[in-house]
Amino acid sequence: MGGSVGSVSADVTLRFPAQPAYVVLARTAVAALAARADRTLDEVEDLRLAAGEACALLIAMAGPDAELECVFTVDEPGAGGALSMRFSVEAEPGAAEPPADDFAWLVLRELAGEVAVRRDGRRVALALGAQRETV
Amino acid sequence: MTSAAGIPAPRSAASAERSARALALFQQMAAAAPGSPAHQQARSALIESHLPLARSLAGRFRDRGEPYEDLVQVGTEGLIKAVDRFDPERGVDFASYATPTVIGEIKRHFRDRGWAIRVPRRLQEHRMAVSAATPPLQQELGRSPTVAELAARLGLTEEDVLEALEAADAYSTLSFDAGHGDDDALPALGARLGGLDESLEAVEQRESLRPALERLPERERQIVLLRFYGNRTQSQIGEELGISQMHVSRLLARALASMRGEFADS
Repeated sequence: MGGSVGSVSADVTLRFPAQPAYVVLARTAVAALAARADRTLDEVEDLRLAAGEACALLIAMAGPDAELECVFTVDEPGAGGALSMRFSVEAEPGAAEPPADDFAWLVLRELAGEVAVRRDGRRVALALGAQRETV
Repeated sequence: MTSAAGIPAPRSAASAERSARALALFQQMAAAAPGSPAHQQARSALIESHLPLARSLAGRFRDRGEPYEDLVQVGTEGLIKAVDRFDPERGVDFASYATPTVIGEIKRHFRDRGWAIRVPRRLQEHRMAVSAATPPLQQELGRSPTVAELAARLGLTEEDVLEALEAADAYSTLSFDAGHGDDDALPALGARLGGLDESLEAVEQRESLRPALERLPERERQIVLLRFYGNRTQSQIGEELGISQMHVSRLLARALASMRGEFADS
């Protein structure tokens, strides 16, 4: 492809203070990766929103001075490649994740496909795996 | 034109008739109970009959880097505000009253985006090109295009297309700081959107969600319902509402942020 920056396959990790001002970094990164994984504009924009929503959920639970970590993985680069994202943060003691029937979950599922929450001690992780539109 | 003494020049017969018709509708609206069919009917008729005004005012801001249809949508929000706030008792012509409100809404749209000051000309042009090329390409492909496909169509690099998309995103983030108006229901539009009623029923089950949804401006509420309960894609929603997919994405981001209570409604 002329002018193409090429496809991506490596994991990309991003870490920033768990504050709203930094969320744009996650949104930008996921859009760039999704576009390079040959996603449609609809998918790129949905994934961008999903990243913002996931970060917002975790920031609401984050302890003081917590850092938010985002790991983006393009599973099979090129056509048919699946992009998955994992966001995690050190939660404030006692912070509960929203119930599974919450609107936030519906939004994430609609935007990014599958959603899973994992808790490891105080660390809460949100894994989003996207199904792609048929191209 | 206004004379030195500030006396309006005589208007054309057509404009005088338009103004009289508007006044009659405002009187009908004032006489009916808010929310009643007569009230809604007069309100919709007022909005629809003044859409050409919103379009022509939006036209003044063409070629400034935002898609025309998005400006028309933003201008229409201003028009709706003007309809809801207009007091026919004051003896002012509605079109003269509405014009600054509509222009103000369009200017705020640019200000929210930080558009004029932040975005280099080249990026504005790319963004316009991307937004103009997307619907026809979508028609041809039967789905939303990829960045690579858009780049090939426009003779731009993928990097250029991405930059244009990211530029759009930067403004949606900025606009989180901006408050937004409280538009009431717009029945004429709602009726066009099949399947929304069932979507609303699904929401009825979620008591916690309804107040947050109800606080959203009408257009944002529609977009949230269509995307998350109506199973529409962003570009389908853009097509249905006559706005660009980029604008749908921005409004969705703004709606989700305000539902989270990220900024206080003004």
